Amino acid sequence: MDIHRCRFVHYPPSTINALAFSQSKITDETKTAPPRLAVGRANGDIEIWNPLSGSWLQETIIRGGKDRSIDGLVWTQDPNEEIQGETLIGKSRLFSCGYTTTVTEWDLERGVPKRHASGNHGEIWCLAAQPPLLGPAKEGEWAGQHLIAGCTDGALVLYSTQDDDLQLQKILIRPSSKKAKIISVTFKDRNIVVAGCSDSMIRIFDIRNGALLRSMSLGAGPAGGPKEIIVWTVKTLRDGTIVSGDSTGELRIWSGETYTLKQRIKSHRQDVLSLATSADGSTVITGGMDRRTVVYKQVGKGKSRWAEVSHRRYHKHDVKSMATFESKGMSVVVSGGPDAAPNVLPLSQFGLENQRALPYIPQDSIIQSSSKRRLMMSWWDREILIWRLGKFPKANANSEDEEEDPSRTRKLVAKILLKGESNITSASLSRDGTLLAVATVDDVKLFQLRNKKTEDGLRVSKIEVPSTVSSGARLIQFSPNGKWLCIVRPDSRILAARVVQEEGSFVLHRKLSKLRRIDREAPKIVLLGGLGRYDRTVSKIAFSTDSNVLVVSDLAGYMDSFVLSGEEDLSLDTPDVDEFGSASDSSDSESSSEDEEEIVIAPHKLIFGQQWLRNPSASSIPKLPSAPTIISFRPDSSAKNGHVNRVSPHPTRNNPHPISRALPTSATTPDRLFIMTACSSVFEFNVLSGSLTPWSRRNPSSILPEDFRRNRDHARGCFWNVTSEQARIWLYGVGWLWMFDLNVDFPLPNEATSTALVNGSKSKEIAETPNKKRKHKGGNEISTGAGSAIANGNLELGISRKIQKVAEGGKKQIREDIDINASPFDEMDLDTDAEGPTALERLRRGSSAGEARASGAKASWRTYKYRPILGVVVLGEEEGEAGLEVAIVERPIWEVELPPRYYGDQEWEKDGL
Amino acid sequence: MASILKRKRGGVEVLDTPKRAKSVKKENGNSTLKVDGKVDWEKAAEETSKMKELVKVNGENLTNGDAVTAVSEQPQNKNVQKKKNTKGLDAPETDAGKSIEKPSLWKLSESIAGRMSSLEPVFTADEKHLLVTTRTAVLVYTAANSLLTRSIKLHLAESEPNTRIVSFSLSPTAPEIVWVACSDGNVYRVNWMTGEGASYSWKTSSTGCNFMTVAAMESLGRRRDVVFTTEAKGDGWRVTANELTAPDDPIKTAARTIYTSKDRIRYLKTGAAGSVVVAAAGNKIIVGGLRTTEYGVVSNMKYEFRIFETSDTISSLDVKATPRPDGKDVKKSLKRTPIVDLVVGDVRGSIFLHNDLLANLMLAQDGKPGISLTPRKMHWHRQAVNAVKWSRDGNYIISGGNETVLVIWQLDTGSHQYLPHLSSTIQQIVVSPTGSSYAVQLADNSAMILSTAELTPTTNIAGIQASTIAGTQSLESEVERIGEEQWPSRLIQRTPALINPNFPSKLLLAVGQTQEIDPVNPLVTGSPYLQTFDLGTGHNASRQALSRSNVTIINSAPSAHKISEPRVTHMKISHDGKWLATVDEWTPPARDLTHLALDKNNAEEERLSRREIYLKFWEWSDEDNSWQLVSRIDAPHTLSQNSTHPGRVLDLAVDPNSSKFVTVGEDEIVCTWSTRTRKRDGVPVRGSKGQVLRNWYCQHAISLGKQEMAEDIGHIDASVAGAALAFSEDGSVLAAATSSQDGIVHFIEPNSGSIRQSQTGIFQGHLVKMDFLGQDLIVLADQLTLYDLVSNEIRMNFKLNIHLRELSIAQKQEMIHLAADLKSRTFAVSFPIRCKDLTVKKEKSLTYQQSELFIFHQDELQPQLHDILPIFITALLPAADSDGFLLLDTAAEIRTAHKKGSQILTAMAQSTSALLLDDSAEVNGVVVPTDEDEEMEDEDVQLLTPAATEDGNDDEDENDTPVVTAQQLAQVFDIGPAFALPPLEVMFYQVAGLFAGKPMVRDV
Repeated sequence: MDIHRCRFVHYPPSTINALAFSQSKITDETKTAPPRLAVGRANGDIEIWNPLSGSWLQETIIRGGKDRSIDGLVWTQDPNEEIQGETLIGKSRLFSCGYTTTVTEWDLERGVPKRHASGNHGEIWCLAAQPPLLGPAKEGEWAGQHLIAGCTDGALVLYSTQDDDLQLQKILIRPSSKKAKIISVTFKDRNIVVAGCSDSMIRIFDIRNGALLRSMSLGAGPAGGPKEIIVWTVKTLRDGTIVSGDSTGELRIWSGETYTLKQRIKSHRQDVLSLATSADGSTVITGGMDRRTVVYKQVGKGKSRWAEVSHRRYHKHDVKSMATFESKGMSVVVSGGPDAAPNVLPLSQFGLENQRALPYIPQDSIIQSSSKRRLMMSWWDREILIWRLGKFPKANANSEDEEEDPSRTRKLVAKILLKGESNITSASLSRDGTLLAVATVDDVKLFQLRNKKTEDGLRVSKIEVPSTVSSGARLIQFSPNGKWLCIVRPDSRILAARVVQEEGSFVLHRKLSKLRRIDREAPKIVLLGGLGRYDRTVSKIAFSTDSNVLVVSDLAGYMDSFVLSGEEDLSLDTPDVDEFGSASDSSDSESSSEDEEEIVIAPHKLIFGQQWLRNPSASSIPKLPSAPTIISFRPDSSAKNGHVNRVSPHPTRNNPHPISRALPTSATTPDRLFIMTACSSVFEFNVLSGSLTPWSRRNPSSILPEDFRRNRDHARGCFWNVTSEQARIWLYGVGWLWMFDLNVDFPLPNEATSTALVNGSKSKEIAETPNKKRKHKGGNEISTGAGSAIANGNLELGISRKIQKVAEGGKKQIREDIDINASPFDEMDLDTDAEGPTALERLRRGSSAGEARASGAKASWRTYKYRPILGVVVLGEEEGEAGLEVAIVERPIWEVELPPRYYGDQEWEKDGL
Repeated sequence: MASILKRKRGGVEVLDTPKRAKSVKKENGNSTLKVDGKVDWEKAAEETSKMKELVKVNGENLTNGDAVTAVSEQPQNKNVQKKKNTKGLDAPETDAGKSIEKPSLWKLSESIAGRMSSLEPVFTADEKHLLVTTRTAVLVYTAANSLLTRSIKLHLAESEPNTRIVSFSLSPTAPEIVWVACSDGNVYRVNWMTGEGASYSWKTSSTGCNFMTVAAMESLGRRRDVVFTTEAKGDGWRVTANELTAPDDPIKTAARTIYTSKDRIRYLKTGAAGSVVVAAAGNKIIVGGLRTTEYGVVSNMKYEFRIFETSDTISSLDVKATPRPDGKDVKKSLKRTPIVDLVVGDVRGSIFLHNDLLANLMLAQDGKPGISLTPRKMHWHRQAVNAVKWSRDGNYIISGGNETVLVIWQLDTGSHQYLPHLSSTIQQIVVSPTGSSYAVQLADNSAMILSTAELTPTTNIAGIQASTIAGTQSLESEVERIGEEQWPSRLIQRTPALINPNFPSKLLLAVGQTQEIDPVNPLVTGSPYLQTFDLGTGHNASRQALSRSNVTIINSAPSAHKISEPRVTHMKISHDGKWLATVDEWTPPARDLTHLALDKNNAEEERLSRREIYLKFWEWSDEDNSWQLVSRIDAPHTLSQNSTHPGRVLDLAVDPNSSKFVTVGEDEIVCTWSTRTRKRDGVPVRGSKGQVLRNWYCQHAISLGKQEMAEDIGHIDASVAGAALAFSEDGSVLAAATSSQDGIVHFIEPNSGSIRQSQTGIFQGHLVKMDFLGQDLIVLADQLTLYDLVSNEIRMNFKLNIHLRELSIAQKQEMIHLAADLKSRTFAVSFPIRCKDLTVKKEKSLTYQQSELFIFHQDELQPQLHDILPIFITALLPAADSDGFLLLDTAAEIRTAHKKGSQILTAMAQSTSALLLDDSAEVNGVVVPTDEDEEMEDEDVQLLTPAATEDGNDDEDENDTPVVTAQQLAQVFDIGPAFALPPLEVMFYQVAGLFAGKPMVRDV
């Protein structure tokens, strides 16, 4: 396999401006929606992450647009309601502000703004939500959470979220003549608001009457600096204590009763920008412009004083934003800044577990290739770049004389900038490199790419698309043969459009196939509350290699599959204007009637004698344990022609144009679908029969290599290398590349010691696992949501996990070991052996398993050499001579131009690279 | 004792019951001499002679430094070799019987000055005095005037070399008592006000002792000092609590092992009257709590220990234990547990702060949730935190380390305060009892007291900053750091030293910033400073840089290597004390040049070509009391005669009669340097006061080398590594020789620069040093040869021991010393030897090197003095204004060797108590005669008698006008030259004290 290692794709990761968890604390009792993390970036994107008890899956990205940025994010939770004895969990709603006068509520299901609200006040700088009401609501009181917005002109504005609406309720504080900006705002309780201002003041207001209860002065700034201190961040603890971080680098702690300063701690050398508190009020974390993240705890007699426990530079730039999340089994603080990578720090297990930086590279690949034409496409914001990659210079062909300039092996052949404001949500390049489809949230565009006659470049011409198509999409993808374009609407409806070639140019067929997913109707009570239908958002599309099967998957883990029935017959095209018109009408009207039960697929709309039908055995594919991160069909090694076995029906008199209703079968079409989920389970289904493939039966997820299962980064993509001897799938994440050979079974764990193991991976670890209850040890994968536990020898905490007690008993000294820094998982049942390999797998393997390995084929291989991988694409596989040729695109953070820092302490790190 | 023995047999726990023993060294009548360290030469002579015999016996038994292959070429010596080969030199003896009986005519004095041990200094309770220790003595300094009040020399058993004080601590019950623990396991109870107790000790352990601390513990209504010691035990280490009582005390001495550990226990602290014991072993912290205070006797004490690990090896710790305040929320079980706040510094620079550690450990161990044991981590230091201390109120911690910065952490606000640019690594910090000042001990053999409020020094004690051998393996070695340049062969650099002829009490030394030398891998240390040490007062007089130095800047390169400093190799002063000539050399580190070199040999060549070698001439300036640089000669010599690369200066000599210096270099050229008027355009240049300025030039360059040597261009001839020069007494003859010309000594007429005569066959092997003594030329090579110029014959010839001859040339040049004293017509040589009875492993270390010293009279084969010094001599020079020699050793101690009966005019520094300025303190100190243990004592041991009556000061009964003798007055005023006198105020009080009758002070 030839590998091009490239770094020329200058994908610009965007600054994290805001972080918010939908709930910061979930106890066992609280009934609430599943938690999500929203990450707001400077380019206007909002990413929704699912903590997934430590797996951290980036589920969706709500794309922003030109000149938009997210500066503040707030989740609210509508109050729960009791309806007919069942609890209707209140809706989780996400609001943002972005240095405008507008507060935006987002529709998570569609990824678009739901509603805006603004008022006659200055730009909103900060946003905070009222704490939810605990206990029963009084008569006429709204138990939900209002929003408060602090503005640059000093105004403090209350927005009501009542009745599933967003309205300006009142302006609490009119902008004063002094125009002290309100930089940070938080609620002390449901009625008291604490606002940090840019004039060395923290002001306390009562939102019921807008009265200024107290102002607390921070005094004059330090000598030599600006006179006025900016209160960048302010938070309150559970007991009412107010903590603030300011531009002098101090954390100040104020009494919540008397509103007086209790303590100030100088721990940063530069401004404190962000601050987070644990739910029980025992820990405070600050992040600052000096890149430090500082942890404070209460110390001393009566626990009245605070002290810095430790500090460290986890980020490569300012720490702008922080959010905490605590639930059963999880306790983390997430921070972010201009280095774009969210950093997850353990909160309750601080110091005992590693921190973890989440990737700044989006989960869905933004790189595609046309292997035939050796084109590579990447996209971000409103920009698409296409390169042509040259071949490897032949090693033996006069390398000295005609050594090619390495920069000439690639060439930027096209650059497309989209008009309009919205950013690209998805783009697809057809396999032959002639068509490019681009989707934004409100448009779909199609481009034809032709070679220029004289130069290397590409001529890009726009193709008109029918208006029905052009109403925006969440995902878009060409089928491998380039005949179909699958479009997923923002509301997750699925359309398939036929690409028609006409005299050297392409158009889309006016008829669209609507593909309906199986209606897995959830109770209304679920759909109305919490996150609603959000988890049914389609996240992945996969076409079979012969383009006859289409599979989509959603965040909940449901798979829907569709088959293309009939035989292509180009003569059957009956463009009927009326029909088309009515179809387009119905497509709009149907959206309202979508909830109706529809078992029979609506009027057949044949396109060239073909139509997409739901796979008859689609319902037998079960719901996956979590959202899939990869779905991909395994190509067939014996390049079957899908058409060979299909017999066209003969035209009869009754039916001069007979239409084949034949569905593709497993025999004719490669239907083995490889699936990997967010919790690192691996399955392979025969889609058309709805069953697991023999390989998948023999190799359950639990016997995957230990190293693979312990990987914390999700798989982001895959490519295949299938020949008659091997069926290799190459999976890659941000920092790893794994190969599995699906012709070879993984060694069973108890065989592992006897047989030569996979690439020298640690056989001991695997050998320990079989059929035993795994014990919690240092370095195990179980943690509170951040990195793994730090091994005892590497603890830098200053105290070990265990203490030894030595007492004199009689004549001997008695020693006993005591665990003091016990992990919260020690009590949890770690009975993971349920998924351990059983006799069943062994039985399924029969005797053939051993032979395959005896032939010397490796079941797996890995490398961590490439990182961070922005994407891997296949090039020039058509030639098929030297095997596969791939390009691995990396995007290291040190090559990213970060904004200049105000404070250049310890900059040598950068020079060293 | 019997009872103890019984317990010893029966009991299991009492392992090493301390025995009250007299120190091994025998007392002779003048016990007071030793007690207060007073120097009376006549009596000290007897004292030391006896001592020396002992040493000799030891020498025969223990050290077999058999340097002796006697080669006597003198016809009159028909002596039989009878004496055991104990010496580095074989001294031919005239008569076997006599020679053994014959007492030495010379003797060694007690040492003065000395290296302060890296132990926490001790403030006395009233903060008026600061106690520090050297290897064998406790020094009491007065805080008000930085003067040495008393030097209490412990009477250590000489059974083991390198016995030293390992810990000392003020008794919490009696403010005048200091407990001192030595590495051989003996614990002394010393009264620092009187100096009593230096000769009595309790043997707490046979395996030695490595740390000690004292707590006042109360049980059953009795408060007593409990001495906690740590020592090796089997394959581990243990902590023992001892109650040490006088033999006549009804309460018996008792001991109990309270903890044993596999790791070496380095630190031990107690808090809350011994109810909390904290120890550190490696990276483990051991916290012990006393179970009950109702134990009665120490042997019933019971502790409960909890042990946990920190991230790194612990380099310092401090504990603050305060009683738990009564509160409602205090749990019953914790009521008795004090609040233990612990601060721990480690070798990588982290400081961890544990609040209320003991209680939290107890709660966490009971499984109580919500107890956070995570300590606060404070990281400022980059390297080991050598010292960390709590402030008295617990609101601050004070720390220091290699960064030479004192850091004061305000705990509540997280802010730091710094006191940067201290002169050297901070080794110890102590907070005074009232918290009003800090005592800081630095690695350059100095200590100071800083006021807490202004951080200004109020007291400064500085000793000799010559290099010393590090006593213990430093904790820094636990951390892997980038290696620095080492000597290829293990050696101790000589310290260039001389006496200013104008001020005979002033000793000039070339010293470096780091003084402690690793005994296993000695680094090449730079010595860029000139320290002027006043022998009369025992004080540092001044310090100035002789070459570039890194004192106030970060002394490490970006690659974390230390920036090396030039090394002053030779130093000479003109006869009038006006001119000082120094030679310093600096070689760039090899790692900086590897990129330039083609291969390995070439790299060395590149290094040599980039050496910086300077000859500098300094003039004494009375105005600012310092040496002013007048002329700097860059590369006075070249690598070889045809080379242009700078070459080493191998020797420097000064004309005893005129302002003339002579150098010889690797190029085998002798250059004479002379001064002339500095002229600009023919007009003499005048200084600010109208005096004519002078500069230095090379008057003659006399080549000694054969001409054929010139053919080897660029070839590094290793044999030229040795060369020596010597001026005759009258300056008329200059002798010059190099190793490359075997045995040839050239005699040069210095004024004309012509070689008058070349004499062959005078020496063999590596030439180390030459000197003139009258008409005799002393040549030290592989033999020690005395060559009479007048009669042209070799008068003495001693062959060096084979071990000495096998040393490398660098080792010989650095470690063999020769000095000639014209006044007494004697010369002294010293050689390195090593203790033979030690294991092979230890032999690799310089710690077990000793020095053998011989003093010969010009006309006698029999050495006037032969002695083996337990520590290593780094400089040997004739005393300026009297007979005898000065010796500087690796403990930074100075001794004199002089003829018995003669008195060195240069008064050596003495403590003020030794001067009897406040003598009645001793007079009142009536020591109770004590009974000795039957097994231990010798019959002829004399009991301690009331001290200090020989000065006629027994006027304690007289209540009227005191009689002040002239001698007393002399002792106030005649303690040194005028410049070395203590401040006028002090002297006034001293005189007034004499006349004021009963001194008001008992506390000195």
